[in-house]
Formats: sequence, C-alpha cells, structure tokens
Amino acid sequence: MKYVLEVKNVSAIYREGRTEKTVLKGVSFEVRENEILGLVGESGCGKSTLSKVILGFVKASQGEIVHHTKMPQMIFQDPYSSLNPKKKIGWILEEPLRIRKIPVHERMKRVSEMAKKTGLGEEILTRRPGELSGGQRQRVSIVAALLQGSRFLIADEPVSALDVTIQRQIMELMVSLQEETGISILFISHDLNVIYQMCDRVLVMKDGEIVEKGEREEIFSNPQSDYMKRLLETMP
Amino acid sequence: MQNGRKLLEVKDLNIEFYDTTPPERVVKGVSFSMEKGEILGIVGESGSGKTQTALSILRLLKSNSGISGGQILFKDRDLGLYSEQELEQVRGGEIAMIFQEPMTSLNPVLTVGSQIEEGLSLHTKLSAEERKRRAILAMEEAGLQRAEELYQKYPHQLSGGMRQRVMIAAALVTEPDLLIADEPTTALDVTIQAQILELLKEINRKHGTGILFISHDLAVIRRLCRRVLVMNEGRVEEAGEVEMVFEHPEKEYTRKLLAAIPNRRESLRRRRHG
Amino acid sequence: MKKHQKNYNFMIGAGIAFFMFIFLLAGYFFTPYDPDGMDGGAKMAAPSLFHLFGCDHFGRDVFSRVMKGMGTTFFVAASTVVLGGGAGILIGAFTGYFGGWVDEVLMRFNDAAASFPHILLALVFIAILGPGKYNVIFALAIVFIPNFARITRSEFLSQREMDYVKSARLMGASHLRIMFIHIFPNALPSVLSMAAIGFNNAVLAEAGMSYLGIGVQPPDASLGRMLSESQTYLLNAPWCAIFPGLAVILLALAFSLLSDGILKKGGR
Repeated sequence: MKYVLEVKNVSAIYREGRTEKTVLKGVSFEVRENEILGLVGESGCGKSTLSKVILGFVKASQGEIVHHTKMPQMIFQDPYSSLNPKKKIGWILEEPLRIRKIPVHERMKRVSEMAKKTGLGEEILTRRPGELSGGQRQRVSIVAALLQGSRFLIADEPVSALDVTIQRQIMELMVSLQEETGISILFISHDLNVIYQMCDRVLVMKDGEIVEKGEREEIFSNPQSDYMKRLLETMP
Repeated sequence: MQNGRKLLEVKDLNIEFYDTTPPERVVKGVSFSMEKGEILGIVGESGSGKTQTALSILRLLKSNSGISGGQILFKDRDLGLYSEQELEQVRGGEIAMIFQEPMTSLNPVLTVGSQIEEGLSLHTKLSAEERKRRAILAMEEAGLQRAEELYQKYPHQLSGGMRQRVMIAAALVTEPDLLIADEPTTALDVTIQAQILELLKEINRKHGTGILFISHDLAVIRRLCRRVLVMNEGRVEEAGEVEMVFEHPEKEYTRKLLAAIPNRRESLRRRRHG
Repeated sequence: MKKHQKNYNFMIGAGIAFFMFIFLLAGYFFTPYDPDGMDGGAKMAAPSLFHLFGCDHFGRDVFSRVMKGMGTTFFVAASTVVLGGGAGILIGAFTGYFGGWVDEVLMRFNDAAASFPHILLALVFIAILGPGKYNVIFALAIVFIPNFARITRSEFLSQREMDYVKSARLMGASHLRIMFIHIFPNALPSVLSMAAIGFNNAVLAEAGMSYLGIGVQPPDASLGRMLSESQTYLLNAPWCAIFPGLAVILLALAFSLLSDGILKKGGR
C-alpha cells in the first residue's frame, strides 16, 4: 500500500496565557494513494488543528509527519476568506503557476482549460471574488488547488457553509475530479451524511483522539465506539 | 375577535430592498397562516426570502428594506397598523424571537440573568425578586442546570449550546404566544442540535407556544414541524404536511432540494478500492 | 447588482485637489509677475485687475506668490508623505506580518514617538538640524512614521489570518510576495486614506513651522511664510493673509474629503 501521508503519534498543545490544553493526543493514521479519507468530529475535537499541523502552520509537540508527495493543497470552509478580495479570479488561479515561473501564454491556457472543465466558465476569470456566489468561490478554490498539480488535498469543511443544492454540486465535482485524477483527499466534516457520501475510509475524532477508524461501511453499519454510536443516533 | 383559532396570518406579503434602482423584490406575495400552538417550518436556501419574511413580522427589517405590500395579522390584529411604540409592547412580549448566532445575540457586558429579565422589566411591573424568580424558572425550563449560579455569569463563560438555551429562556420568560426561531440550531454541533430541538418541542407541548421555525435544513424541519412551507426566490413553492411534502413533493424545486440532502442511502463514489 | 450610491466626498475632494494642483503646477512655469520682484509703487496695493490678490508690503504680487508658495508647500507635504509613509508602511508591514519580538520592540518605539505632539517633535528635530526646506521635510517625515506604521501593521495583523494568505503560502509564495503582492492591495484603502490625512497634516505643519520662522527661509515663498509676514499688516492689507490662508484651507479640505472618500470606496 502506498501512502501520500503518514501521521505518527502526533500530539499538539495549545497555549493561551498560562493555561495549556492538549488538543491532539497521540494521533496516528495514514492517507493512501487514490482515496478520499473522511475525518469526522464535532467542533473543538481537534480536527482543524490536525490539518494545520499537517500543513506546518502549527507545530506538533510530539510525533512525526511524513509527506510522500509535495506539499498538499488546502480547501477551506469559508469561501469568503480563502480568496483574495482585491484580485481577479484569473490572477488568483494563475498565481501558483506564476510563482513557478511558467510563461504567460502557458499559464492562461492551463487556467482556462481547467475553468472550463470544472464548469466555471471563462467569463468568471475577469471577475473578483466579491462578485461570485459561495458555490462559485469554492469551485475556484478547488481549481486553484488542482492547478498546483498536487497529489494530495486537504478539504476542511468545504461544503458546510453552502446551501444544500450547491453543496451537492461541489461534492459531486470533488468526487468526479478525484476519480479522474486519482489524487488523495483528506475530507474533514462534522456531517456524517456528507462523510458517508464522499469517503472510502473514515476516521472518527473526539477530544483530540481518534476513537475509531476503518472502512466506511464497517464504521457506519458496525460502529465500535460509544461515541460513534451516539453520533449515528443523533444524525438524522 | 370572531375567529379565535388563528395565531398568525400573513397575506400577500411583499418585501423590497431599496438600495438598487429599481428596488429589488425579495419576497413576492407570500401568504400563510399559523394556528395556535402550531409548529410551522419555513425551509429554503439562502436568498429564498425566509429570513426577511420572519423579520418583517416584528418589523425588524434593516433600514435598506421594507414591506411594500400585504398584511400581517397577529391574533386578528393588523400589526401593520401598529405604531413603533405599540410594536415594542408586542416584541419580546407576545412574540419572541431567537436567532442563529447565540454569540452575537447576547450582550457581552451584561450578566445572563439581567438579559433574561429584560423582557420582564420592559413589559411588566414586577418586583426585582419576582423577576429573578421567574428568570430562574425560565432558565430551568430551558434546560439550564444550576440556574442560580448561571444567573450571575457572562455570555462568554458559556458554551454555544448553553447560550442558545439562555436565548430561549429570555424568549420564554414573558410567556409569548408565538416564538420565531431563525436557524436557531445551525451554529451548533449535531448532538447539541438534537437537544435544542427536543427542548423546543417540549415547550410547545407544555405551554402551547406557537413556533415559527426557519431553517435551511430539511432534516431538522422534518424532526420538529407538522407543516412546512418551502420557499424559493421569494415565493412559497409548496406548503403542506411535512410528511406529504417530503414523500410526495409536487414541485420540481422541492424535489431538487430533497435530492440534494446528503444521506446514507447513496454514495457518490462509483468505484471502490482498498 | 450595482449600488447607486455616489461618493460625494471623493468627488468633491478630488475636484478641489485637481483644481489646486493645476494652479500650483502652472506656478512652476508661469506667474503673472516675478513672485520675488518688488514694485515700489504697488506696496500694499488692494486687489485689482492688475494684481488679482493685491500686493504685499514689498509690493510683491500676492497672486504670483500664492502660486509659488503653494508649490513649495505641496512639495514639502508630498515629500513628507512619500518618505514618512514609505518607511512607516515598510515597518508596519514587517512587524504586522511577522509579529514576535521584533514587532514588540518596534511598536514600543512607535508608541513612544507617537506620544509626543507632532509639531513639538518636529521642532526638536529642527532645533538639532537647523531650519530649511529639506530639514523640515526630514523632520516631518520622521514624525509621520508611527501613524503609517500603526495603520499598516493593524491591517497586516488582521489580513495575515485570512485563509487566502495560508493558500498563498501553500502555493510556495515567498513572504515578500505574500506581503506586497497579496496582502498590500487589501491594506491600500486604509493606507491611502492615512496618506491623505498625512498630507493634510503636513500642509498645516509646514505652514505652522514657516509661520514660526523655522521652516522655509526667505525669500522662498511658502503659504506659512506668507501668513507670518502678513501678520503685521493684517488690518491694512488683509488680502495678504486671506488668500494664502484660503489656499491652506482648500488644500486641507480637499485632502480630508479625499481621505473619507477613499475609505468609503474601500468599503469600510
């Protein structure tokens, strides 16, 4: 089995003034090639911290994180903060290529191809984020991530700020892009139903620990932990 | 009052936003009614006009928008004819409202107790002790344990679920006939969400408080309400018994909405591996 | 959906500023009379068709001197804003973006500098450096650094937490690129507004210092000097004070309107 990421016994501490809080307690898992791995848990369980630790925005106090691909890209929850409000969409999408010094005509070609493929339409490239809907912005984020050519994506609650019908479109887009490109996605959500629809394997997190992990069907039909059982009961 | 059964009647309501020329109509001829003690759900996506409809009942629309037509009857009284002063008597008295963000709807510099009592101070001439007694009672009813202790605390010392319970206690303390709840569970975790829904049901059963429940979440609506309005682009698409609407939707939009709800009966994944 | 709200502050401010700018620009190339030329026969002549704004006690044409003096004042103010603003923006951007102890130390210096009244601090520098146009620019620029640094820093502090900044880091953008290509455009409305206020203050400060006789030195005309010189003849020849005073007021008004207008445009 090939992995894109291995997280080995990682802990993280959050300091506020004098008080210290352990937000991750010895978390271990790996993300396989070509899979969508779900990470489910309620607010404050440490799932967002985990993504920050993986990306190096927060330091782990203990443990090891091994990347087997180049840096993963991230799709954030709030599509209103993840795109620079002062820049045009075309500029935003070209930026990763510009940083890699790819010539202008090549950049423009790749961006407009990708925009067409993901149903964004080329006319959107001259607009700014403020003129787009939440769903369109999230599409732009996905396109930006894919343009980097990364084989691993972390999506932190990418659909929870969206209306259901838009939510569905974004989920379908992510699944079809994943199946087409064979990349890996760590999909973080508080919504069990979304996790069920999207993922191959699932991690369940509570109070900084992974209380359950395994194949999706396994976990949903035969949960081992009390916490997962309770979650399944309360979720409609 | 000839017809004592109707709690709320909204007739051909129109709401416009004025900061564009021509004004943009966001609610277009919405009509519905609620009986006493009923829980009515309004479901719709953002921009459907559901929140504007709810806010207009107590005339709480922002200054850049307003009611451009229609009638709102509360217990057969036309709220449209009420002066601002008369409306203040209704707000937080006979009609109470709770919002999505329990963080911003509480004042951070006032104690929980004083905010719950606010309704009583405005609408009654009760003594301080009596107000406190009722506030504590309402808090207990809203499922807050150790109410005496919480009474002294400030909003930031509470969790999101507790804050929403405080909001509910503040709404209940004046024993309103109608509670308007605008996405009260959206910002909460699922387990807490379930508890708050149970609480609302309980209140409805015990006091016969009518609840107008606004949400984008069909599953939540289904759990709580008997009847539902489906709103889309400022219009009522479909209305009826929840089960009927969910099992046999008549309109294309309702079907689309229902199909989009994430559920565990289908997976979007076509290929399995591993 | 376009909002049809007219930004009157910006329009009027820009209008006055443009008008004044043309006026002073013309002063560099052409003035009706030699601004320093004395006409013994026209001492304290009242405004007339020959001397639109009248003449001062040496018989110099006030209209020509206002044109020239505005140029000096404008030059001093603009240089001050460019120098002080540039340095302040750099300091604010670095401290706001990186934070940490560098931020702490620099910001304490900043607080110390900001706690002095502006004019007083500038006077101290002039006392050390001696009077003169370029020393005034230098002194005022240093005095203006803290304000620009503070504004820029607070913008960078809030922007660096935005997800788009994290995105840019994940793309592999360098810190400098993130600071000046990604974040800076978002801080621009506040900085520009600050620049307009700064310009305004610089105009007033230059006028004040020249009035006190420590700014621009004679025979150079500046609005402040003209006010100071006309003081003695205020009752005999009020036009010597009125017109330079009017120019100072219009300049200040234009840039304070511009500042409000820019903030409105930036959507705050």
